[in-house]
Amino acid sequence: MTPPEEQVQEFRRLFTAIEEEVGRVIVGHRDVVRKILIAFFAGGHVLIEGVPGLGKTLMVKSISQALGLSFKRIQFTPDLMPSDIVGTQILSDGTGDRHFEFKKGPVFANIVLADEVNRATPKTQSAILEAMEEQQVTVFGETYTLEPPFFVLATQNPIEIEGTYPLPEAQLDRFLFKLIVSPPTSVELAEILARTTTDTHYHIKQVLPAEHPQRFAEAMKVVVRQVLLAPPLSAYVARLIAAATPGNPHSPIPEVTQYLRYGPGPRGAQAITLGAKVNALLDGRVNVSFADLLDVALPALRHRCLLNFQAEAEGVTADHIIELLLKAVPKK
Amino acid sequence: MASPAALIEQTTRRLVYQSRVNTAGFFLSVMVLTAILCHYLFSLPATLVLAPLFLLSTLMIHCLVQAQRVIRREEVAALLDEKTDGQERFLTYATLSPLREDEPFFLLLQRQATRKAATFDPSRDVPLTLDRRVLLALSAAALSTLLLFVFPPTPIRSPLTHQGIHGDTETEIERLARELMKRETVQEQATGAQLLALAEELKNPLLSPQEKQRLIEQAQQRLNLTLPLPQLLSFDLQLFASDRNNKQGPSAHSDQPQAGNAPLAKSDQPQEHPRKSLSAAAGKEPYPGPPQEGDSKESAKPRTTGGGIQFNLPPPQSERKEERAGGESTGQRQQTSPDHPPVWQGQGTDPHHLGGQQAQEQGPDVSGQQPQPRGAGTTVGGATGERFLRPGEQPGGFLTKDARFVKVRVPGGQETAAGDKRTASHGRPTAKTPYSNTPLKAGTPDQPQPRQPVPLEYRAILQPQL
Repeated sequence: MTPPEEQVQEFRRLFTAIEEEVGRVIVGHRDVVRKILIAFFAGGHVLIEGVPGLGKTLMVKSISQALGLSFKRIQFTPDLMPSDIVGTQILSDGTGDRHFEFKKGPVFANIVLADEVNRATPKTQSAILEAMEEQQVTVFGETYTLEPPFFVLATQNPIEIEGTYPLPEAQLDRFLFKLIVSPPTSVELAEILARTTTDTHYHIKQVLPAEHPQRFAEAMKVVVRQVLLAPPLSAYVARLIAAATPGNPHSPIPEVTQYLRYGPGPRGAQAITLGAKVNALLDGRVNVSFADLLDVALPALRHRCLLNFQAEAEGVTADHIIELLLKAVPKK
Repeated sequence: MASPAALIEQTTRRLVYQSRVNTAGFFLSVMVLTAILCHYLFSLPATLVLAPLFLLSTLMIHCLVQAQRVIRREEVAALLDEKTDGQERFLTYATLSPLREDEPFFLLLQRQATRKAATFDPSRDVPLTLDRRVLLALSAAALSTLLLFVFPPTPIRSPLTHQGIHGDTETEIERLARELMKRETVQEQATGAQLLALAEELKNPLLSPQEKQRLIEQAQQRLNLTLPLPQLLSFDLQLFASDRNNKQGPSAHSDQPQAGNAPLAKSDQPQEHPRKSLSAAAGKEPYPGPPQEGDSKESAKPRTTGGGIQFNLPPPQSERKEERAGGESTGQRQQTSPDHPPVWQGQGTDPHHLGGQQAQEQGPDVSGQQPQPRGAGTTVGGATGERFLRPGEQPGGFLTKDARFVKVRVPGGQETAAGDKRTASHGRPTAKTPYSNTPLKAGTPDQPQPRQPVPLEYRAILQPQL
């Protein structure tokens, strides 16, 4: 059995190596990349929001290459059917014996990129969202387990609302993090130009061991779950979630009741805790600190705080309310 | 290298010690402040000062005991995390140590916390500091103590403070005691010794004015029971004179000249109030009762003392005036001056008490004997009929200020017919005294009521008739 010190060191080394490898292709967005990796090792899924052309697809593809895991991309369109995602039964006549054979869809991969997930109909969305939660799909009454690790990265375009189907709140809750990809700065843009308009192409190396990358990734997830969380810190997370619930008379800020329609649930607390544990390992610790919790609170809660009409009319964002909460909720 | 548990324990002890120092400093300062305020400013008795001090000390002990429980292990661990940049290592260790000590990740946490603990020294990194409230309380106590010595406070009289007890009361009692101890009688000397002890007891600064007053009253009662009547009366009068002098300020002296030493100097105005307040209260002297017929006239005549008791005549008026000019009351000088020793012709008599004694012993209703004039040396001089006046009555009549009395003069014809003997009328009952002091009934108007104003609308009708 590997000593815990070596497990922590190995985790840090691999994580840092993946970050650096992805960073060779993706200019900037280091925080987004880190949060994606945190969500991956925490066992969650990520919803990425950003305008087209910011390298979302390239980022996810690069991460999958660095991890050495299988990767599938699904472009969601209004006419996309659930069978196009999970697969379907086809009639097989290869040996003279006709029978139905299950043809796996693109969801059967370690890393699935659901590009512009909000363009598909809710029926199609629910197909992949069921796979996200249950880690399995059911076709014609037969259940097929997805091979771990299963990691879904969904993207959506915030500006082209027409002809889209916004994700329901229940499905949004299944994403561990919601990340915002911001436009690159001028320096980053110059670097992007230098990398993409020349003949030089960088091929990402696989960081995880080539024999069994899936097993290695799962082992890293187990290490994450062993990180210690003190009761005062879990109590803080509980206070934070309770304070973000509209109608709570003990909420320290009135903006929660004023601008929020729904607040985060238990999955929000789980997301914060798991993300904080990965953060602790990245810092070489085996215990969660308040700084770890605060670092992941915003991406873990922003898609779980649903704004009401007044907030949208006044331009109030969920990030603003969460930041107020993080300042107002006492740590002790 | 100290383990995290040992470091948390050391730091807890340090914080408990610091908390106890702060608690003790705060409560002791408050106790000093309370004692100064209660005792010196509000002049509360020592027992009442001790009560809040006892309450504060009890509360302080309670807080000192509770300091161990107030400081929790988690708080100490959080403090260590803050001081050592432990990033909640000590907090996690302190909260999970009993449960997950055998887990490999916990052992790793313990090793990490031990490395952090090596850089921490409780005695160095947790210095002994005083809270803001303790500093404020200490400053206030020190300032009040300094002010107490620089500016001795004027006592703020509480409702419990008796107004009549002052510093010179003890001096007066002591002076009287020393004078009594110079007397020849053993009983007087014993009384003087008791008074001297009382004066010494009154000098105790811890005694409240109430307690002083109580001691004086007890001494008065004790002396009233032990002293014979002459000594009792003389002591009564002097003690009362000093007491009244202390109770009343200069304005009171000017308003009531009979108070203080002045009445003792007036031999023609014997002391009515001292008898009532002290001797009469002691049951030694009955109230003289209403003036009898002919008292006002017979008071000027020499009276026969009953029971063979003889009294000295008071000195002539000129001598009394000279004595008053001497700056000391005649009564006191008669009692105390060796040049004019009091002459007691009989046991149980007193020059200032003659009237009462005589009224008791020689009143016609009591003894049934008619007063017979006797020779010089057997009559009462200056103690005229004023001592037989009723309360509120003066030689010129009753005091009418603030009293519901009317003064009615007897018609001249009857007075003439009555002559000197007003009671000897022509068979009709007439007043024995020239004035009547019958009180008016309650509600009787002293003055005619103003006329009821006529309403405006009726004036035109009623005006011709009015």
